[in-house]
Amino acid sequence: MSRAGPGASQERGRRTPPDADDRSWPVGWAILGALRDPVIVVFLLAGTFDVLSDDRVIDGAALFAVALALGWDVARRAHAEHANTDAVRSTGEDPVRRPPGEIAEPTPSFRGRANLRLSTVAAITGLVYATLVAGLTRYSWPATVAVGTPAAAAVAIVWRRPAGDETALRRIPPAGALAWVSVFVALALWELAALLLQPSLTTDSWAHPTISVLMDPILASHLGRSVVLSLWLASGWFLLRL
Amino acid sequence: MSSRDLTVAGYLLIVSAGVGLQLLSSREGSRIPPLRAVLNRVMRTRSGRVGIMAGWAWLGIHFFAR
Repeated sequence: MSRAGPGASQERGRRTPPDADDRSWPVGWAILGALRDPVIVVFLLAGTFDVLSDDRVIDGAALFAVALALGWDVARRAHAEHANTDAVRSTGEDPVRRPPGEIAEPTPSFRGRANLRLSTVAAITGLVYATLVAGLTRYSWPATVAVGTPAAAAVAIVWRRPAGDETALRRIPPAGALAWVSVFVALALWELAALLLQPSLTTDSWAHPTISVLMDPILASHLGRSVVLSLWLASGWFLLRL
Repeated sequence: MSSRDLTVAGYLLIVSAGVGLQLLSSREGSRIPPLRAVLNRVMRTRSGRVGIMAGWAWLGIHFFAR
């Protein structure tokens, strides 16, 4: 499906993407590039099972939307990197490299007090929010707007955040990382097993409850919803500050 | 032990494993990283960052939104 020009046959064995000058950047390359990202694959799988097992639309659509957005971003950056490589090859200069001697902006050294004040304000706001939203009926439009707004805002914030400096991070031992991955994969598989053991994908099972089914009694009360919403907000705040 | 008990026990076992890993990570010279370090590492890339945050967002939407 590639429309690369003369010389493409020499490149074919190296699995390089087609010429960036070619405006018709093949969709196939973009899809293949996106599917190499495990996060996108996870969201596609989760969206598929969510749509199959639920008659509600928004949460499944949200998973597919994230997968599509990330896929588009992967393809866009791959295209840009390829064009950048061509520019370096033709001019001998890296257009994104900083001049020698340029240093990063210094990090403020006394943010502790401001952070503490911000955290206190955020905690109080979060508790008030959770108590108010817990009073709304689950799956109603007001609850959808009340929960969807901070959810969308948080995703938008991390989307716009620049990539961190990987060299500044302590290396994680592979065995330790594998241990954590195993826990999350086990949880996903156990949930999937419970889902598949239901009478049907859209019928809850008392004998094989999914996490959602186990949460229903907790979320039936105002107190339970308040606690869960508070924990949800707190974990979102924690993730935003990483 | 009923099927329900077995299913719930499975969830509890997995959560306990996570808590155990977090406790192990706090020991001196542990080869197990704390969950925060793993998340920090995953969130260095845009897809990791957006993936984790969207997963969090989805939980709220799944339990409360239409």
